[in-house]
Amino acid sequence: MLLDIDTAAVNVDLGPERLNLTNAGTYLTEANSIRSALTAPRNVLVSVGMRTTDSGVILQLGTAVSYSYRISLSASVVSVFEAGFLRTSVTMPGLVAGFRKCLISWSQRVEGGNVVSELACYNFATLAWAFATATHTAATPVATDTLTVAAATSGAAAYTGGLSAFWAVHIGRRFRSTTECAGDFIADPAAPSITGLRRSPMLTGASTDLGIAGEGSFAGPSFLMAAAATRQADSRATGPFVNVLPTTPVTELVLSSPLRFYRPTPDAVAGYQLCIRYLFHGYLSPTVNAARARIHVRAYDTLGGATISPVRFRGFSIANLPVGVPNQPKLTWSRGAIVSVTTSSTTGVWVDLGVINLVRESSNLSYFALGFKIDSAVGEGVSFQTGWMLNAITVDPLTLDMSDGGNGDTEGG
Amino acid sequence: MAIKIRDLRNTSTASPPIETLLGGQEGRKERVLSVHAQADSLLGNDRNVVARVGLHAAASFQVPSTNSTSVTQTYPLRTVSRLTSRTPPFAVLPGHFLVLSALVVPSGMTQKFAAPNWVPDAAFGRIDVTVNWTGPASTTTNHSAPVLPNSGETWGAETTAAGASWAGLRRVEIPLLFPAAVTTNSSDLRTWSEGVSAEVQVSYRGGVRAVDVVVQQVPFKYARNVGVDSVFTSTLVTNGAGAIVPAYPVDYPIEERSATDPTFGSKLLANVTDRQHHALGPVLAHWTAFTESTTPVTATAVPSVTTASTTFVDMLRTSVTTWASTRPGWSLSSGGHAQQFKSSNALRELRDRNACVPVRCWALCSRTGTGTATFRFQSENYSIGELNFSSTTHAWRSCTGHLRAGVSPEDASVLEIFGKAPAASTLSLSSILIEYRDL
Repeated sequence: MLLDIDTAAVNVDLGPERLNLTNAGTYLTEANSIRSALTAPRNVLVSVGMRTTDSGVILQLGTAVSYSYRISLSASVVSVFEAGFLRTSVTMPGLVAGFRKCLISWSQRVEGGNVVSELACYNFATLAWAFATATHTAATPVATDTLTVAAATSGAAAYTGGLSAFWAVHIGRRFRSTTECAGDFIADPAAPSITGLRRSPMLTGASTDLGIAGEGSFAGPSFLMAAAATRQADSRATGPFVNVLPTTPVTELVLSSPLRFYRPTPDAVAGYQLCIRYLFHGYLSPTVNAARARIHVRAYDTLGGATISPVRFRGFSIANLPVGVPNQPKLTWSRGAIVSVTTSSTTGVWVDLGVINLVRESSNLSYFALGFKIDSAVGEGVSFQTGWMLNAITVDPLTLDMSDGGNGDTEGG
Repeated sequence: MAIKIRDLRNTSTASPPIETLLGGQEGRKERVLSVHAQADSLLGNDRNVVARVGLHAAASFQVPSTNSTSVTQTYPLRTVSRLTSRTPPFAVLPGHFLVLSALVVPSGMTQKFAAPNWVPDAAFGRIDVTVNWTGPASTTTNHSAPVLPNSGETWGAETTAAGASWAGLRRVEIPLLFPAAVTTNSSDLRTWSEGVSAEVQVSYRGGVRAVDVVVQQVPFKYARNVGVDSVFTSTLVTNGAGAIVPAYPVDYPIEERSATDPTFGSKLLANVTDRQHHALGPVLAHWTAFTESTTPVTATAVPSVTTASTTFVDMLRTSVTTWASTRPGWSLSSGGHAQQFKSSNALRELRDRNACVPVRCWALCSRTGTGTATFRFQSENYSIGELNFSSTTHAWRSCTGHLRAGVSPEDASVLEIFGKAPAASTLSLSSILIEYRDL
């Protein structure tokens, strides 16, 4: 069920059933609301104006003496109940004397023999979220209960903000992630710029759920669906290559210390060096050929000022790094673009090192190293002393079309 | 027992030939076989990192290069292992086992006590790995302990010449950590192919100087009794050697071979691809509080970060109280390729602009005193997994949730961990792990 006053009158159901609620003046109602009597997984979402002084029942499925589930407000606290039990509650952030548009999303999912309730509340004026979760026993809603919005059954315990404060109501029969809730009812995020392969889950089913080879079914479509599903699942288990948050990062200065930790970058560009503090390795998935690398760095004047020399970074993917193996093949490498940090920071910033082609050994072994250089400006070491520290480094592998040969290409370098 | 095996080593998917299956095409057996073969190769696609520990931006190694005779202990003991990294019992991918690879420089000195001083023992280093495997029917533990190269310098010191750490870099590996006799016994392999979890402990013994130690899940082999096992992730259109058969066994695509042997049929494919869409996903993040530069050589357990705050603070930066995408955190971006249709609806509702992934969030934690402590695993203002516990026992605990992940590895995401202690209590966190979990 979906009510949305931006599109239609408040009692008009915009959901697939198109079954309008009865407008009782101060509240909406639907008797014997079997479509709302949903066991978990379930989602109940309400968008409503609220004030600090408001209270009452916001939505209920119940009778005059009991209820299957209920959302209520009291003293700025949003509470969700089932069959007489408080499941969880949160304080709606940022309420004031006047109406502010707010969102309540109560989603349930089954976990083992229990049910997990996630309650997320959002204030459109302050952009603030509040969140609570609870694990509890399952409840079975009563199919003959009455659904009411802005009051309990027959208008009892009416919401003091009134029916006119309601923006939207949604009741659905699946768990709805807060990510979906935010995307649908708050703001549609901008699509990211993706150059690599993108995978999306498909609607699949077990053979017992599908009419494979049944009457009116052809064998071909099931094979086609299986092939498409395999394609969309081919990167499901590929995780990050490097995903490290150093707990006690050192501050790097112009003068490298200790010298034994450093070497020139494999491209031998003057001033750039690698340090074993920022060397990582492991086996790569055979299906990836590039990676998006990001670092969170804090560059600052260690003397306390605000001026720093530019600090340059670039990522290196390396294969056949000399590690004492006899007859080791020649070292090969690939590098990303140079990215510079030029402003001092007290907390640090994310620096996108871009997409870097991955090189690997025949066993899929590969190394990732961070190249860097403090590009000393006039006054470095005298009026200011540039330092930087690594707060985080993430390298997420992906598949990229390198040679117009399709996304199945895996050659790096 | 009709056990079939798929050898997953050196295999991976290519682009499935969907075009040859589109409408108007003849349903030829080789096209159908290629679909089976792709589904059967999918388990060979990943090399998933489950734990990583090492120098990692620290100023120096835990094991020094100074005079090894001292009044107080400055070097580790030769006979005691020091835990540096742990994982919870995470779900192992079907047909996968573990590999450990370590980049090290020569190990340093150890000490022993000879009154009145601590004196040199021997330059020695070893990495101890313990894996506790839990399968559907049994548990087992295995240990490995690769010995590392040792320093020949005075005091077991690091070589001081410029670039010497790079020149002295060595890699050691345990190629396969596995339970039972899975490498030689097909029945054991079948037992340990599905529904397996592994708990890993990495310890240093002696003067280990590790630049980077990584534990990964790697595909090995998958086995199934095709007449009995009802949960499976591979089509097993294989020959006796575990390789894909060269030809489809009948002239025309079939529904199944028999009610107890669906091999080669369309029903088998539906079940495999459905399970692959639900069961497969990566370990997305792991962290240990061990640091080379600050963890003392006398510590035998993984250290903790702590807070006594009764309101939420970032466990790694306790001055931070709220989530922001500009702050340091772990990436969940690879989870964009492990979305679920039922909880993310990437195409319909999120329209490929955003994504979330179902996860189990683990914390190795405890709190002092009484009351309920809380961790929040947060990757957006609206995306939170919440873990509540009340125990003074330092142990792995977990919660489930749906965390915003980004639509692909190229879409940035930031996971932070916030903690809140009850009044008059201190909350401790030693390690975390975030794994995909079908919820």
